[in-house]
Amino acid sequence: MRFREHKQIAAVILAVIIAVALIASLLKTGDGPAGLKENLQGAASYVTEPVSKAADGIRKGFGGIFRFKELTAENQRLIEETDRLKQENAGLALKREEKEELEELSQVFHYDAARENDLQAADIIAMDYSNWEGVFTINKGSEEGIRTGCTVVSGDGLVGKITEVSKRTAKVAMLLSDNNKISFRTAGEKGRTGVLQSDGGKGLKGYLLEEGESVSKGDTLMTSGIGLYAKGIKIGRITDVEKKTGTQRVVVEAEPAVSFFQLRKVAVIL
Amino acid sequence: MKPLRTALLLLIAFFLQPAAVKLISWGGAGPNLLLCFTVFLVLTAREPAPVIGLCTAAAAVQEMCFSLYTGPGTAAIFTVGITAVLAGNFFTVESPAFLAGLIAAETLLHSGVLWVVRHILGAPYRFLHVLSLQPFYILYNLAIMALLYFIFFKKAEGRYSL
Repeated sequence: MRFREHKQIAAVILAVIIAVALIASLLKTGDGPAGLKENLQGAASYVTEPVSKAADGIRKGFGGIFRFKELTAENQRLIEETDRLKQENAGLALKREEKEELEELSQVFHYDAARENDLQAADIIAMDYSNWEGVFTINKGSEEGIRTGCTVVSGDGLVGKITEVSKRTAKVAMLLSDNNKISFRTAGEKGRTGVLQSDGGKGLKGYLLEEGESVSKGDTLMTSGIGLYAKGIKIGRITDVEKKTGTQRVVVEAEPAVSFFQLRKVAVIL
Repeated sequence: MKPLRTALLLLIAFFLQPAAVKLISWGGAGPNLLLCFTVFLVLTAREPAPVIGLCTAAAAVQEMCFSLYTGPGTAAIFTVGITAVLAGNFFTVESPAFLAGLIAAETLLHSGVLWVVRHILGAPYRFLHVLSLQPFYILYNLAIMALLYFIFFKKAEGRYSL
């Protein structure tokens, strides 16, 4: 065998040894405050954060240019709509049902957990679109009080949970990438309880805890507060209900409320 | 490929992949820069072994920084590097048809390795779901490979002259 071939084999072996050593050292030091992984994450965030913000700026700028006419027309339409609504609003009193509906909506958007705990807003600085892993990095970490297991939400609902924290950054696992079960309660007075988890694709699948109970397509699912996630956060909407013959178990399929890959900002419930 | 260019391409892949690919992503899919650059760098290297080592190390660090698991992506890039070397021995790498076929096959291989290792580690995704996403990934990776072809290959006198 020629020297050059020896050199190539040696280089491959060296690369494998380096990769194994890196993984081993991260397993050993990953939880420590000065772990290799944490240092790498912190260092990477110094570059990814400004790059991510610049990319967001470019995206918004281009969007604005291409949608200028559309936005002008929409602005005019909204001005007219606001005037009309102001006039209507003056003559209307809230009916009881409407009030209840508004309270329900308020619950969805202000979350019980958010009222009881502090929220930490964060920007997404890294998300890999080249695979289906379902994880992203935010620009807030242990220095802001974020801990592993904290619930992450957006304006639309439950996003996921914190899986790893460094001083300046934290990794978030989306609902769909998690094997853990989510305890839910249907919105409304007759809240049915059950559990959901990722269906291995783009949706969620689970069942009601009490056999023979009924839910309908379109029902909104909220977190029940039992288990990992804080209470009162919108999870999604039921897309299919099936009553298993024999066992009386009610199986539900749901679509998440959040468009995960459209996210730019999130909030962490501390 | 010159060492400086190699390092530059790997740095671009490392930082732009998680932070800037969102600019061109659609429906949650985007190109895999590290995969494309690995194939390209391996094919244009006189000695591919150190290049595979560098790309594998870049994948390991990228996973540590931005992924849930460390290992699946590293194993996938290592496999992609090795298979690209093997493919390069049998075909003319300057041919666009070969490059297109290779990048499509490598995308599938990369996803397959990722799925198997992640599945072992406990990720919930079904194989059929992963398979349904492949056309988008392949199209994006083809676009990146086409870009590399027009920037580097077309003007080069030979595969090792870059």
